[in-house]
Amino acid sequence: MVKKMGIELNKIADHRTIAAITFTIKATQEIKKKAQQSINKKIVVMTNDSFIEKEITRPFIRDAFGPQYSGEYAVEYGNEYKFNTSNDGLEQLKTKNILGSFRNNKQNFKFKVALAILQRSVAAKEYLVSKYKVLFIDEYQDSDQDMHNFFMFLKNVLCIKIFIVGDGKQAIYIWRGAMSNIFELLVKEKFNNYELVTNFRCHKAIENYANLLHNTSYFDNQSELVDTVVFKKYPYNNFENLPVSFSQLVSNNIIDVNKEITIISNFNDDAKAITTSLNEKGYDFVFIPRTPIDEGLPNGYLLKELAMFSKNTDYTIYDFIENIGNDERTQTRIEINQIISGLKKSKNLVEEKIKVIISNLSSYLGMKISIEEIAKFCESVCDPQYEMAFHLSDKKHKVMTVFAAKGLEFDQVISFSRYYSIHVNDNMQNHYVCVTRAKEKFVMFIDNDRYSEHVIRTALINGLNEPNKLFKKIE
Amino acid sequence: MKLTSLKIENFRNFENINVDLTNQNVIFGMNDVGKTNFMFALRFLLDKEVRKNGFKTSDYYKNNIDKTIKITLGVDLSDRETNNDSKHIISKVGGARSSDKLDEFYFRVEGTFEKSEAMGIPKIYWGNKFEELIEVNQNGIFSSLDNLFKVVYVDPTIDLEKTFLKNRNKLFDQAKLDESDINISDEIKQLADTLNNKISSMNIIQSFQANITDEYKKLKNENIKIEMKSELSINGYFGNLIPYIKRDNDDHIYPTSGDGRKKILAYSLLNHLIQLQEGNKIIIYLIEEPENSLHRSMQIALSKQLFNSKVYNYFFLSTHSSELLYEMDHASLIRVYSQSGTACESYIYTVDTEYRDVKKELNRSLATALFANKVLLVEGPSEKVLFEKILEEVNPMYELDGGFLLDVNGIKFEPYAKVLRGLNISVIVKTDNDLKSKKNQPTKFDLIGLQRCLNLLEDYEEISLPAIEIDYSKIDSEGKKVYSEKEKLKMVIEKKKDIFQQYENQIRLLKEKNIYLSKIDLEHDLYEAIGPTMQNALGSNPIKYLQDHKLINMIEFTKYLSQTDCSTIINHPLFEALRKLVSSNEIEIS
Repeated sequence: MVKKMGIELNKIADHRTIAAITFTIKATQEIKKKAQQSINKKIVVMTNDSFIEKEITRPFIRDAFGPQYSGEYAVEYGNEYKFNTSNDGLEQLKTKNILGSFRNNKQNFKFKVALAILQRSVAAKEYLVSKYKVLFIDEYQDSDQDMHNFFMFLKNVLCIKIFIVGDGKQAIYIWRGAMSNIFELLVKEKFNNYELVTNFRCHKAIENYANLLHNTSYFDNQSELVDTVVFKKYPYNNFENLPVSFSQLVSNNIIDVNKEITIISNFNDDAKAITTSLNEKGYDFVFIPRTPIDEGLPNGYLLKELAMFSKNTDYTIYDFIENIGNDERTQTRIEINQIISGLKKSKNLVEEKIKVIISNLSSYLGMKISIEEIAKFCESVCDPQYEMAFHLSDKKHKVMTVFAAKGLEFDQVISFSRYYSIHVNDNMQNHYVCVTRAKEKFVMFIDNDRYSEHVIRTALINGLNEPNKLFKKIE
Repeated sequence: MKLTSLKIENFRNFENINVDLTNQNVIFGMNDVGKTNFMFALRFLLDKEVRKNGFKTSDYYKNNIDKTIKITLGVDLSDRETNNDSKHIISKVGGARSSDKLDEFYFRVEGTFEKSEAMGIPKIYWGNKFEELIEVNQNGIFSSLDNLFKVVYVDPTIDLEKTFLKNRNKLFDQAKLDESDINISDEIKQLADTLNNKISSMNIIQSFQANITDEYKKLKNENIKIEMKSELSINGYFGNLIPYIKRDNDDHIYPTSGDGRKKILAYSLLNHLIQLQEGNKIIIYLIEEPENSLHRSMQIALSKQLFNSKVYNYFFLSTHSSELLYEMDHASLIRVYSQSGTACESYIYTVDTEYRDVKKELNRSLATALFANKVLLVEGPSEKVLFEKILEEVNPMYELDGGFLLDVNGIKFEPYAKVLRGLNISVIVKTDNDLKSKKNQPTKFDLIGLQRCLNLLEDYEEISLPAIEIDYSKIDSEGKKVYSEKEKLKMVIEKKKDIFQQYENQIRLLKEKNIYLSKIDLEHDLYEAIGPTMQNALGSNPIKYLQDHKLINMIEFTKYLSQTDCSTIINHPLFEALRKLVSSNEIEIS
């Protein structure tokens, strides 16, 4: 996508620019970093929320809805600001100057408002059309219906070129409104459609294994024996004898302890149990817990960095400033340090103190951090169970949840079939994410026969009757 | 984008002015009335390099630091469907536009004096409602406005050598050499080494090097050696380049000597540089008195460049040269003048379609008049010759005092009067009391002279004068009705006198507005003033003589006129127009 951005940007001879719109701040940073190497013109890279706020809602709300509205509203996710209808939401915005959200989290008030503004305000329309030649939208699979409507309005009514990338198999935000059929909807929108079938991360056989279960049409019924996808028999319900099974993998040269190994479980507790049991037998796994601030909070990214600052002695104010993307002037650094340095002495952190610090920081940065978010931050930094999440770890061996693993890649990945009821078409996305994290080797501990039966059956349907051309089975 | 207005409040010598603009603006006026300050107002708004110094006490009108300086530029964006500059503005100002006024937009710099800082800190505002502009975030002195506009200030003393030297590295960027250039470049470096070796091998150089090294060591004993090198190999060959002019079909090269050519080349260089670096910014040229050291023909050429070429889309030109205005059309003429404080008038000058073909002619005569305070418009060359003679004898300094005599070459006074009045230049008109017979009705006459005068009145309801009947027929000996030309002439003259009487009130009103109708025509009026002199010089029928070969005979006649004659004429009631031109009192104008 970044390469395509460079090509489109070079085609522009006038003042216009392009924007890359992403789902998370992390992705924004990744794109900025990649773009730095190949693009030397100024471009806009923002999350979709900040894109609509900065480019549409704040500047044009008065123009669209009248002078009773102000662009200086606060954004609140708390329950007391939730509502059932758009009208209630607008009324709250008008009278309290607070932008809240729907009780039904599959509806997206922010994007509904942005679209309504665009429909009413000629000035807003002219602004977007005059500024943007092409919009690049990343991770489109995570869009909900309101976001989709909004982007299609840009394309169909404002005639702004749209370039979308995404992977239907990676949609893990369905619980909060992302549509599982989003790419089917796009077919109707007359896009030029290109399907990327090569997974540049995974070994070919791992990709082929994922394709059999998730992109059947790209499944390659090939004739070579496979040793990069491994089914390891593991007839236990908990994690008994895990070190034994694991040691077998090592001694059979299936797993190489000198390379990265990540074990993916679905729950923090399981992950902990796995870590403990392996480390008791002399292995060196570190558990990377999923903390409350990893739960997709509006300011989750900032809070995560702040937690790192608080908990990790090697993580300095310089790291913080750089990672939150604030300007790096000395004065800013000193002022921010004054505000947050209290978090560094992590021994005597108390909730009251944290609240004060965060509210000072949020007013300094001009952003709104909700009470709910502060509570989750306190829990994350005060509860020792999350300790490891904030330590930069060079360790090669990790245990983490599938949510924490999203977007990452590891040489070798191990997981347990109990988490994936793919035979009843459940946990499909998680399974796909899990398998495709592995670059060189994927090992599934078969603690549940329905999983392997389903795989073999699916292979048969697709004309493969020799399972060893799909995975290597180990007792 | 179209520039539409500039309002300057409390800045330097401007208390409060508001002028209409177009994309091509000509600023003129006497020296030291504030043309440069007018340019500075724009630079404070659009050029951060000027803005960064802040507003000093002396930048405030009459040093009155209690009032705020405001400089507001208005633009029109109604061409935004097709015009890239309009789109560019829209894309940068975002929510500062509202949907109820999509065509207008304003940019403003304000300076409220801050005593603690001892200066006014410029703040930028913009928006589409003049009364409700929004402050633009500034990062230090830089604001988003500076991403939008680039002001190119072209100094009257623009110097080719300096401009070239300063930008040589930019022009010949070593990093932009292509492969074959790199090969050539390596060859040149070898040649330079060879050149230097040759030079050092010369006896004269060697003995000099030896001597100077000895002398050095006497002063300071160091292990060094002095060597002579050509700069070519030290500073690189680009460092030696200077522009020369080579004519087509001529193998010689000529230095770019001569200030005129140097100046034109400096302009070309500047334009080239700006295209290179500014990419998409909207470039506004501020060109101050470019006529300095340009020959008249070069000025005319530059006029073509300014008004017709695509390079100068938006410009403000200050000038004293009428030649620079020959090609103007749809330009805003901005006259800065002094009148109990500095005043400013602007007039958007568009050549009417009926004058398209004679644009240059019209502009040529008009352009000279623009630099005056008071202009007497006359019908043709014989009036001009006569009046010039009279003024030369009676008041030779009238042009220095801002007076100007303009021959409109016909009877079309209106386009001149409109422009000059629009710029608050006093207009005086002197015209003949013409009558004209209607088509196919030989005895019906329109009062076209008086009508012409009435049409020049501003703010009056249009008056349409009725035609009159002059029956110059006679019954001849055979009882037939015949028309006699001789009789017609006689009767028309009598009728003109009647009209002059009959419309006394209207004529008085016209005089109050500086519009002077002859009783009959120039020659008859002149006869009334100095009849005997005319008879002495031109014989028994001097009026007919003057009217027969108007210009030549008038030139001849003016040689006879003594200072006394001239004085008599100018003091005669029928020549009040001339007195008005030279009277020191400002004329009340309509």
